[in-house]
Amino acid sequence: MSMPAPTDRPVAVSLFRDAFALERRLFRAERLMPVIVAMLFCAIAYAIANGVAWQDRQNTLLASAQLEERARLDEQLGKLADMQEGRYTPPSAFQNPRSPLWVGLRHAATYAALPPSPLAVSAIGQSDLNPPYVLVSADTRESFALNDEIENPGNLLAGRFDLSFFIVFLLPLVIVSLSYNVLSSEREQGTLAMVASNPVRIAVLMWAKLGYRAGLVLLPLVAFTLLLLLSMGAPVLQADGPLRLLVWLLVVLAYVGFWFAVTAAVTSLGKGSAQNALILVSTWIVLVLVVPTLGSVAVELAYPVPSRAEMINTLREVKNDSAREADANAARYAIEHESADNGGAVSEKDYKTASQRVMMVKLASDRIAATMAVHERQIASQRDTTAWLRFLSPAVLLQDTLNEIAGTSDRRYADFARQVDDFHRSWQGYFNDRVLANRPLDAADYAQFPRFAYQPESAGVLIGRILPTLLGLLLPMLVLVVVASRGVARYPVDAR
Amino acid sequence: MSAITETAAPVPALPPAGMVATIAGKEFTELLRDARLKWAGGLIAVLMLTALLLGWQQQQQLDRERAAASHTSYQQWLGQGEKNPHSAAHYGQYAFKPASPLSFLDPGINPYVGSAVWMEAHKQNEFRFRPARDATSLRRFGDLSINFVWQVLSPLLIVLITFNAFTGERERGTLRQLLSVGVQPAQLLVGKMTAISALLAILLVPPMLMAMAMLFFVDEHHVDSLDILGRSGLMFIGYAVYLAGFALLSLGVSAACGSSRKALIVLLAFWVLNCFVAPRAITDVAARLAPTPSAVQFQSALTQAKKANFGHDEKHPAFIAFRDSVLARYGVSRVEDLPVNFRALSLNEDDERGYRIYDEHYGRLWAIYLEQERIRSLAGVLFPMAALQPWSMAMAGTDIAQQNDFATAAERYRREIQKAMAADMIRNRPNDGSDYVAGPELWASIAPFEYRLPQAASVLGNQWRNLLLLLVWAAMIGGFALTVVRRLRPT
Amino acid sequence: MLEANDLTKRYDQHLALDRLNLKVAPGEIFCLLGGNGAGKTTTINLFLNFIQPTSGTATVNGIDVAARPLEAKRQIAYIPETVMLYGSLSGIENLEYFSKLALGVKRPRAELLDLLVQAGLAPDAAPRRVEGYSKGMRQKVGIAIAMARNARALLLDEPTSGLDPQAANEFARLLEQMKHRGVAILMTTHDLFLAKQTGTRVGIMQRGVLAAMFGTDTVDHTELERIYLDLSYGKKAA
Repeated sequence: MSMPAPTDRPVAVSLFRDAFALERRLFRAERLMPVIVAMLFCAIAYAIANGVAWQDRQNTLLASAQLEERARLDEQLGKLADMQEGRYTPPSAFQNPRSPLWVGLRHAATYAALPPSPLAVSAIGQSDLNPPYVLVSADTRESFALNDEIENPGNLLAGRFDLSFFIVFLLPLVIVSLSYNVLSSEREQGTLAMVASNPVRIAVLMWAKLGYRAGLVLLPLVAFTLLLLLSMGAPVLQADGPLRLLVWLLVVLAYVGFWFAVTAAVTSLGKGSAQNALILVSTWIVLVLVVPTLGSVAVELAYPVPSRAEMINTLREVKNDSAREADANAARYAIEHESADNGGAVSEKDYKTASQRVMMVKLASDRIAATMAVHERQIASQRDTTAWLRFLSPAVLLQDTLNEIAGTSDRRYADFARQVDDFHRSWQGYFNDRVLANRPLDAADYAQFPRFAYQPESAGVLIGRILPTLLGLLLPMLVLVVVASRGVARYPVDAR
Repeated sequence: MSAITETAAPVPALPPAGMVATIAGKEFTELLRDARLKWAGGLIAVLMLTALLLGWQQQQQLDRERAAASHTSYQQWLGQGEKNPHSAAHYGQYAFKPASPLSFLDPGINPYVGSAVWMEAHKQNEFRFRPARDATSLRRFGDLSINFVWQVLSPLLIVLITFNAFTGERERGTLRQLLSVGVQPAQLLVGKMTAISALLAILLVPPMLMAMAMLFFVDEHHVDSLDILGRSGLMFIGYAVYLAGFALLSLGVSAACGSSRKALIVLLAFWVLNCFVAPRAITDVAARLAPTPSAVQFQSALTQAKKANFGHDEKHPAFIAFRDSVLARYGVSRVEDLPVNFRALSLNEDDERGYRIYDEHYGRLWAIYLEQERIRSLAGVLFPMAALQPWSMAMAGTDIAQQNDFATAAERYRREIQKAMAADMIRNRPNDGSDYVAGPELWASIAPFEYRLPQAASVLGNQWRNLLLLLVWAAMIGGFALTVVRRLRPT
Repeated sequence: MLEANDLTKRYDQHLALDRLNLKVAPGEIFCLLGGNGAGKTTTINLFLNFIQPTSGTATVNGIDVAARPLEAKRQIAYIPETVMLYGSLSGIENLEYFSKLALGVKRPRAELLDLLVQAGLAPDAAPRRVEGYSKGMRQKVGIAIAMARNARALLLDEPTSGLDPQAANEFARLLEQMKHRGVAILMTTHDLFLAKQTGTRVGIMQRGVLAAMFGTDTVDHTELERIYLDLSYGKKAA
């Protein structure tokens, strides 16, 4: 004579509520809640403050770069005006504001800037290694493509305490420390037998306890993050910011869910509290430290980037050879192309030097590109492999995704580099044509120099890329939840 | 036998040393039988071996690559053909930092610092090509290197095997028995500490010896092998203090906590703070207290400062003043009458003035770096990794100070080239404005750039502070452990 | 009400309980006697589904515990050797929580207090935190919890160990009351006197086997003691 099934459900629901309420009472009795909330607040506030400070620095950097460029151009335009009114005679081609060679190479060299995403403060990511701007000139690509921002390498080594660090590294530990002993401590203090002698499912009890803790972590996390982002002046509401924020919340939620599922699965093994803590910390070490470092070793062994030292010498060789060839070619070119009469703005000697230089750059460019492409192909392969490997560790997956959302990921910098390359070519084209045609620049030309504008990818594309992440977090979470639910049904109430 | 003959007298107490040895022996046996140690220790041993071999292979490869590149760069310099010496100075050479032989133990800042610098005329350049940019963001999670195993994983192993050293005795009730037979708590502490030290020695000394053995295979052209041995010894001393401190801390916390669970949680929390939170959190503090200038700021400050120099500008007031002083020195009134080449002289003078500016600006930048490092290591009083890490890097030759030492050496070499080229022009270039070219003999008169790692003694000069911090920390922890163990009660 | 049919529990090489057959009727107190490791607690754990049987069944009111644990547990109340409670909550709060878990309804405080008093707890102790309670006081809360259940079967695991004689006596009286209400009681104990005094029947277990079973009215106290010692230690020596 089985009991009617429907009565079971309300009991489970009510148990969930009761256990939930009991947890609240226990936490209140031990005055744990304010401690946890205060700790979360401090960590998040410090992390966001660091992110904001870093972003301010990046913005100052961009602004000072633009200022520097403006000043340089203004100086040239001033000289140009003076020249036209006969007040200034350039002592050398280098100081001639009409020389397309030197203006394209130096005086008008322009900063191609990567604008920060609205959520840039949330993850410093790779932005400390990759400068947010590149000074593009008509020179060969290697002269600017790999320039670094000044930074104490010790700081780069240590990394920064930003929001993504807190979430990826520390939040799992907060979760673990709150819930490693949800059932085991009850068993150790003997109350579990008291509870389990009642008609209750231990699974419901466990989920209620974990659910309470999840709320304890998530509510302050989400509230403080939103509050602090807004109050500290992060531009999160600009452009596609709200959408990014939403995606950010979703993946963080999934990550938190994953770690609670891990604790549930470990709990369901029925070990003691200390053992649970050991297993959970080991899991953390494996997922957050071991998998990424081994992955990084694997990727670098699979796609080693050739020696940069060798590349430097090769590029010098290429430039030497190209200069020699350009020497010969220049003579031929001069015969084939009548130099246009430019009213004496650029002397014949300067023209010769200039066209020779441009020819050298043209000859060298392809070879330099080919040499550098070997490195870049390897790096791209590393990146592509990493895109798969990251699914092995939710920590890597999340870090990568948070970087994407913050616009500080490897991928975005690679995309930026690609766009800069295209721009560089058009810049070279613009000035080289004028050098070879011996067409001096005037004020109108100055207004028409190519400008770089980063083409951001649409939010849709970004979200499309982040969807697999969400799956990569949710799937293991679901598996763990099933494992935990099954295991906990046989939870050893009375340790033998 | 003696015990039997002295039956009337009370059973003689074991002498204290014997007591400690007995305890240590029992603890050691127990540790060896501990399942935790078997898998955790095994895993760490495997990781260490992997890291050691991987690090060695990378260090060797890097060293070969850089040596080859240095050679090529010098050959390119020699093969310039005939040209104006100043033009040759503009062409210059590249300096590639040789991989320090101990970098396989601690690669330190190597991935994050440029590996090559162009030594050209007029400019002291920044190092370029940070290896980390040739890797993915996976690298930012950490490097699989032996220092990672020693700094991060070994303390964890200590925590895992010792967190219940005292709480476990209490929970099993054996503590009551131990104290009842007259064991002093301090003896218990020393005994346990001895056992853990022996265990750590078994785990850590072989790779250390292996590392030292590997050092004999180091290419000796830019290192002094005896000095390197000394460096590795000093490095290991730092690690020994660090790990001993951790063991004492673990034992102390175990004695102070009411339950194994609590001890474990406290120790894990400290481990996380020490290894992960503190290094980053302090980096941000240091970056605020001593902000690094941006490249644009740094360069524009340099450009601004260099405006006081005349460069190639012959209308610059400083140029005119210099010309007049030279004319006065030689007692002539026209440049053409000078017995030496004036343009070369002025170039040289301009360079000399430039050196002072570069020294000042780079000096200031590096002072900022060192200030950041100083702030960072201050945290070592509480979180020893902050003091150990710079110590280890310094001994490995992979810290910022030694990077700057290399940069200074490269700059010195660059200036030698400048001076030699200018001197040649001053002597040989006519003053009539006609051109002058020199040949390979002149290029060959510049010896190839050789860099030697500074002596360990000189590194100690600015590193003793970190060792002191470590020792102070370990002493504090020792005091703490002794105090709590003395207060140990069986229940 | 409580029934074990060939109930067996094996841990690897060790047979903790070997084909136990047992019936406890409503209004009956069955005392399981036996030395440490005889299988008494294993039996209790099996009736509570804290562990699962290797073979055989334990049923409560005809419900197989292993197959339908929740339904079975609705019929039982349980008092462990040491009643463990949430130290940071008061006695009444603990009772409130456990009775809510068992019945799914919240009972008024007055009713709960009444139960505690019935179980012998001083009324002024009820709102104090349990961490300050003595073992006897906690035992009383445990009894109140069990009474609140209105269960038809009661499982007791060494309920009087560590209680002072007066508390043990009070406890025996309460058991008597429950028995008269028609509750089936299965109790493990080392206390021969308690078994003889309150028990309807006793069973003596030895190395996982129920070695003897008889009514308490068929033996006097010294006889019981002799049988117990014979079974527990005599055979071991033989």
